[in-house]
Amino acid sequence: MSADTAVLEAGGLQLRGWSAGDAAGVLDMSADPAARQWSSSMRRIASLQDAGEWVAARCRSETEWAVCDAATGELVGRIGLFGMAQGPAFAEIGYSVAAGWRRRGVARRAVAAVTAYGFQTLGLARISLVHAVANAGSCAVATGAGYVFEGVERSSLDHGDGIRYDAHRHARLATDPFPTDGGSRVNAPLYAELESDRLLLRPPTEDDAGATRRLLADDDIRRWNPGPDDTSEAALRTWCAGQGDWSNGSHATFWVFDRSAGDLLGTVSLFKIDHAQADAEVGYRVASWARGGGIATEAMGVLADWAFPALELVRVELFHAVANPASCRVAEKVGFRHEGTLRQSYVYGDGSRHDEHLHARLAGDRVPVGQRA
Amino acid sequence: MTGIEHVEIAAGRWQLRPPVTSEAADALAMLVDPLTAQWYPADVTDQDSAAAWCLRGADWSTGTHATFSVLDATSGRLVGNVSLWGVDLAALTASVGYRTAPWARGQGVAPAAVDAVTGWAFGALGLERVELPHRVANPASCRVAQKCGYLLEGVLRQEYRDADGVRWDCHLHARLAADPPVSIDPRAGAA
Repeated sequence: MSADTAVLEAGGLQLRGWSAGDAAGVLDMSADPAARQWSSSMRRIASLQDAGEWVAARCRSETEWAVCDAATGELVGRIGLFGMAQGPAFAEIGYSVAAGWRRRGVARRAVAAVTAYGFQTLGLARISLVHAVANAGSCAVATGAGYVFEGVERSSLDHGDGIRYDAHRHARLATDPFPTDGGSRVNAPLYAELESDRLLLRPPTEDDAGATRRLLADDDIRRWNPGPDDTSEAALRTWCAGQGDWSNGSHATFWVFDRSAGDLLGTVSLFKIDHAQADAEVGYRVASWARGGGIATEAMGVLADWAFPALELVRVELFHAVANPASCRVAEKVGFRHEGTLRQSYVYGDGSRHDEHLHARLAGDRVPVGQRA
Repeated sequence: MTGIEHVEIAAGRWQLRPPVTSEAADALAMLVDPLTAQWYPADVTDQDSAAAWCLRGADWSTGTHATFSVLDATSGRLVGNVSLWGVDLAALTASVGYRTAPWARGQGVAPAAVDAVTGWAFGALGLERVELPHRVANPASCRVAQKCGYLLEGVLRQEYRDADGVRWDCHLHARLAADPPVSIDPRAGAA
């Protein structure tokens, strides 16, 4: 019953045509206030029957896709190319992401996949992307996918809620250069959860701000790896959300939790990710209440084992102050070899310029065994 | 972001100043020379791209680099290029790189230029640490580092990936503002 819609793969997502079985998932999506705010068709859904009709209307389209988690098949969003009737070479792209799946790069990956399909398979010359100015998330998606900002259209957008919204119009031409960092960023992970025997690693969210404040309020952490200067609740919520947002492709930051009790134990981060050079740096913090139990070694081991293949890295560096020998032990245990001692190379949180050890681990290095249970 | 103000530095036989497009032909000849291109692939293939390279070198407005043409002070001809790059005016650190025109090799251009730029970086710019990374496979660069008092701090395995995807071990040298002075022998390399 579905139209002959191409199946597209996009970094852990599968984009496929709609089918009748999607009605329940669509009903769930339509219950989300943000989905209702930005989509008039979603706002009209009040029952499973409404959702079924919504799906049926889309089953006939060859350019509307259900966005699913490739691993589980769960419906995580929708995307489509519209308005081709105006001319065969022009289209407008529209999408939404289910609550609970935002900030994971779903939109960016889906837009990238459909954009490529539109230019390469459908032969489109121009795809536009219009979003309400108030919808800042869409602006970031548009820019990240190479849709150039063209202007503000005043009172041009009708979401069916009686308000006429100012809109940004972005567009991308088939002849536009691909975003310079897009080629390497498209496959960069935007979210991951990692586990070891004792630990759960996941990107932080703003709701981690409270535990994060307690973690940062520690002399060792202030000295060797301080958080933001502003430790107000609001600032820490923003900071945590930013640490959990990997969408610029330059870092993959995890908060480390006790797998059974759920307590925050520390942080580990892969940062300065350079896809062209296939290298990055790592850093970490251990909460004062979690020291002495090998948490840093275990978490850094999990991070490194994941990062080399997931980001196709060849070299990962770890810098620590010579005056911080605990970090040296962690580095050696996780297989980061000492390569040099840098004199007066970095001003740490105590305001002093410190000598540092540079350690590095290569993808091909033999890694010490036994440090991880 | 605060830019760095243009400056000229006199260094004995040599003169350092920001690049100008009128030296694009010599810059092109220097950059397409195989020995230069091997260690410093600049994506410069013709007069236009060489002129663009000169313009980029002369634009210090980002505050992240100060790039100099090195000239023969007598003839005024381009003999090399030295760049203080990765300048961090908050952390007071930077890196230095250099290349010598094929018609001026063996005359100590690079040590003289690096020494002059280093002195300026620690003096007028107020930096505290300048790094000099180079590929282990380029021992000529290592000699420049040693002559200019940049201590070898580490050997970084496969640190640099070139355009062909080949990875190279690198030496990391660095010099601190507080390091004891060195004397660049003006005759060094002349033999």
